[in-house]
Amino acid sequence: MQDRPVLTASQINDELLWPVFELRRRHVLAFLPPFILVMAGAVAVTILIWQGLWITGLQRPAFWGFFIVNFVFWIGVSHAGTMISSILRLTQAEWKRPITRAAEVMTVFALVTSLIHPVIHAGRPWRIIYWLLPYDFTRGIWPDVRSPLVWDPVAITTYLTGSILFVFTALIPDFAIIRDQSTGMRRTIYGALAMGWRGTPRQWQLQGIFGILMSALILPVFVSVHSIVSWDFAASVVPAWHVTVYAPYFVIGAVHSGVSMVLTLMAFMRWIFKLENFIWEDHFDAVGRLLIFIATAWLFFFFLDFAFSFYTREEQEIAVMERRLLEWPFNAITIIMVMTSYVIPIPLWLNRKVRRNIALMFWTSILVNIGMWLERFFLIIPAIERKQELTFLWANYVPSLTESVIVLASFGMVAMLLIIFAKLVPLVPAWEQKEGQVFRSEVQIGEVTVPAIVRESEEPRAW
Amino acid sequence: MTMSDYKWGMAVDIDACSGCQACVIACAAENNLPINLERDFTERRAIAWIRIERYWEGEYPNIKAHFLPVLCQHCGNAPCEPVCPVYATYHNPAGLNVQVYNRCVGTRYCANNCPYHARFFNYRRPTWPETFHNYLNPDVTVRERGIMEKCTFCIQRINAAVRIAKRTGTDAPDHFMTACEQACPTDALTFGNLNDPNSRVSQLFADESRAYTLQEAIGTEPNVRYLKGVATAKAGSDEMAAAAH
Amino acid sequence: MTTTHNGHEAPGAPATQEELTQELIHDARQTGPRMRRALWILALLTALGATAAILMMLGGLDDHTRWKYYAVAYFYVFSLVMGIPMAGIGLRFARAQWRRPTSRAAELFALAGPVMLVFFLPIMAAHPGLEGRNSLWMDWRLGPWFPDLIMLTAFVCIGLAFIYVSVLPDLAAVRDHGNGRSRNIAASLAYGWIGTARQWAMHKSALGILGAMYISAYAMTHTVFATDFAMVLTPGWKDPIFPAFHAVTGLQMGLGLFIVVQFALRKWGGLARYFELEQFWAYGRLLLALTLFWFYFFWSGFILFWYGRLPHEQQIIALLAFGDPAIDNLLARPQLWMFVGAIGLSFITAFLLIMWNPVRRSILGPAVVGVVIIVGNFFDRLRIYVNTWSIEQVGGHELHEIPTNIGYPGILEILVFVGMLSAVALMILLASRVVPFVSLWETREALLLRVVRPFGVGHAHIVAKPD
Repeated sequence: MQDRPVLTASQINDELLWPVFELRRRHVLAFLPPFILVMAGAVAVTILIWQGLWITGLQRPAFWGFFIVNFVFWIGVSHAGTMISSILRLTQAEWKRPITRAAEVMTVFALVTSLIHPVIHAGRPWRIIYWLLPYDFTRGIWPDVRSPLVWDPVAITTYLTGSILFVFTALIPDFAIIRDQSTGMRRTIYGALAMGWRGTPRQWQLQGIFGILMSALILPVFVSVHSIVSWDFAASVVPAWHVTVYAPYFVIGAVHSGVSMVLTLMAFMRWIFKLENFIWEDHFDAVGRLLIFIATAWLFFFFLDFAFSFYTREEQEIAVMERRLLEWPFNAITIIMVMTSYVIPIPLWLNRKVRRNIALMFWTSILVNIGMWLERFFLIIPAIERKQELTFLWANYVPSLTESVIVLASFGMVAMLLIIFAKLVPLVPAWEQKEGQVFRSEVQIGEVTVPAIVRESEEPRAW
Repeated sequence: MTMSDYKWGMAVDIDACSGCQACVIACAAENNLPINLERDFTERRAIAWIRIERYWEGEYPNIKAHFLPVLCQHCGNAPCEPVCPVYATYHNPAGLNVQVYNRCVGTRYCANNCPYHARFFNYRRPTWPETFHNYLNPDVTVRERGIMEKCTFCIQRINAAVRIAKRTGTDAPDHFMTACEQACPTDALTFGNLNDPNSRVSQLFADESRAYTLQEAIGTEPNVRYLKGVATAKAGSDEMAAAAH
Repeated sequence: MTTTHNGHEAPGAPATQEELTQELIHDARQTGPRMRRALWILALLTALGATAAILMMLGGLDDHTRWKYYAVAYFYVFSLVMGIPMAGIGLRFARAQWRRPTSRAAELFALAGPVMLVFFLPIMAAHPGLEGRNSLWMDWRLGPWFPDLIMLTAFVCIGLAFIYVSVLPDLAAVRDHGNGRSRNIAASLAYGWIGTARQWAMHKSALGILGAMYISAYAMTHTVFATDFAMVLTPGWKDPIFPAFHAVTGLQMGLGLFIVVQFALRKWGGLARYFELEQFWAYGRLLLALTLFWFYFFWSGFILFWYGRLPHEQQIIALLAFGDPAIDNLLARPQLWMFVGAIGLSFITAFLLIMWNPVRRSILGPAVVGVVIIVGNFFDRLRIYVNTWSIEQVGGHELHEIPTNIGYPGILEILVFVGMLSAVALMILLASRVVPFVSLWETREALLLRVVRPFGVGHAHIVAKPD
């Protein structure tokens, strides 16, 4: 079929490996905007640490602001990688092949980016070691394991380690391809990274077992990471934060925004690296279908959270809901959030033609992420602005320029890291593509030829 | 006598409070609080370990103001404590909720989780005019930018009193006051040892017709109790308590 | 239609489309004397159950605490059976090929809907109303009775519409190939279906739409039931995750029962070649996931109540998990024992068994775990409904005392429980006299899409993936 090109192994190598071996103008142009953003962000962070948190819009009672919202957002995005590679691997979804690596790498970079936020958000970043490491052996003072803020680094570093292992093992066969095609210094470096990969059956077998094992092991981490991030809020006694549904609500929201971000990334990859032969409309279609389900599950949890905030009719929660629904700018934010994260994209995605239209999928995925960013803002900020009745300090949090620049720069950082990464290794795993070519097949049904795949199994299957 | 023989508490008689704010000033002077400029109020970053909250009752001209001094409640079951990742806030044996400035990294989670809004963050490095430098209290640390602070029940005075009591062998160092108590012209604040059933504060705490705690429903078990207005208490309607709930 | 098997027969499966038709239309629908006897017994038990429910209603609706074991029975059976069709619907959305021979058996459970609707009426009448209580319906006078009844009715109707659309091609097959009275019933139900391309396209989209509606209705019905029939009765209990927990555990116990049903169909129904190791293995994996979800949704709520240390939430933990802390003797806390039974079986035992691949990859393993889960979730519904329906206190911010008047179910409640289960079984067995337990059209489609071809040194299964 025309939209599913048949490629030989050397064609796959050529089309995927060009960014590694040559530098085209397109690659540089893609690198520049995020790079400028990151530089602006670096300046902003320097000013922030030099001057202190007074240059943010934080005050009392809104002690947390944009940084925390952005932290939660990027942790959320990081759920894409595991969702795509682990869950789809376990469910044997064939269409995951070309997007696994990009999604996993985005996971790693999103985690790294998100980790910056709590550090710069702390009052004294230079003392952060008290928080992250049990260092004070002489006095026997350790981080307090009761604090959700200690669960966070534990969960996130576990997830980061797992994701890096995931990415790295999937990279080994591709390192070997680059090693075999290059000379000199590059050959030495990639040779070291390939760790003696020769592609023997045993090596492939081990790599396969590792993939399955890692997929299964990382799933509990995947769920716990965002649950724990949600407990940063829900474990408190702040009305409208102390909500039991937060853990699954945050996780499904994370998957929603993460998988949408993968859509954005897929479109960019197609445009920048000319990957039309690998990332097909079929893939957009499949991700779109998956997202309909995810978004609807998200809506269910949104509904639970929303409906139950009126359940006890307590003044404090009503005050927060009033802020969310009636007061500027939150009334606008709420409307935009619901529209962009569900009402606009989902009906569009129900249409097969839209799912196969890459430009539309790109823009709707951007919409979803605008919505999901605002969702975090919607959930986190009003609750502390309208915190308690024992204060006259109901405040409106207005983010400062510095904070906004850093938030923008975080997007630039993930993009920049991805573009640098694309210079080092192909964003589409070459070996997976070759495997996919081997497993692809066709079945003749009547007069129609239907694409098919080979299912590996040790025993004959009845069905 | 060791620290654990004491349990410090404060009774706040809201019937007596006239809202004069002397306690606020006294606290700032005693505890080296940074000077709150206009900027700090507009930015909502002013620091006042004890503050007077004002509730209006009735319509003009038949209007009445009620005042509620709010300070750190030194909760027995403090929401701020378990959420701190570095043990910068913990419960000491004398029932005080203690902030360890050197330990604090400034996550501000404790402030979010405080139902009484009694915690403050140093957004700026505190500065004083040159002429003020000699007025700073040498017994109290000047807090750096980036850390949390809150009412300590004037722990420097407590420690001094306990030291003296230890040296002289007396049991109850009841002859000292916190700065706010000392400054209060109407005697609305009473501080003391709750473990001593004869102390004034213990007796006030025991007055069941008047004593209540703020936001009792969240189970924080504060060491600060409020005494509701006599008239209110007699009428049996606890509007103030309801307002505080 | 052409067959596409290339002479490489997969053992166990019927080789041709014709064989499938023969087996499913003729052999599987034989009603022998044993089946006849079973149907009569089930009908009798159903009648007894209905009578018991009427007797209970005559006994009075004023005191809702008298209805606690009825509530347990009803919501247990409701959770148990109404989630099973999701196994067919969800896996069809996921385009899992292996579900094809099993989805009909799952979808037939939508026929339990009318039974659940009938038995809902007494418990609805026994609901003490919302006065003085928190609720989702605010001060609406008709809540919860009206919205819940509408919700359930909608759910049941969607389920019936779904199962009708799903069996439609098979009804036509029975009409064309079958005989006897069931042929006449099938013919009258399937009159218009001749299998044109247009009809198939409509069938496909109707299944999609009704399936999506069923999933939504499932979630919403569980939400309103869990809220209105458990949370509302408990002062100080606000727990938005609880409806989700209710729905997810419903899926888990439903899948547990479904695996047991498959086991039975394999063993006594003569349908072994349709409920193969592959299906048990795959459902075992799903069961593992849902078992983990059981704990995740429980824990997400529990940890916040436990960690938050708010007095009114501590009371809820006492009510639903640990029992009254004032009672020192742990044995004397009924709540604790219900909780231990629930989490011990539904999660701990089930998880410790199903986590092993050799257990999942067997016929017996998932079936045994299924039984464990069915029993464990009975304790779970017991802990939820008995405890909340025993509370006499109305309103307030906090539950003042943990009820001690738990008591035991009477003979009427047991008859209702057995009657409800029998009624569900009766509905499904009656339906299976008309259409087979294995979907003819889905399995025939599977044969079209599946080919065995030489691959490398051996053979491999090729699965076609049409859009």
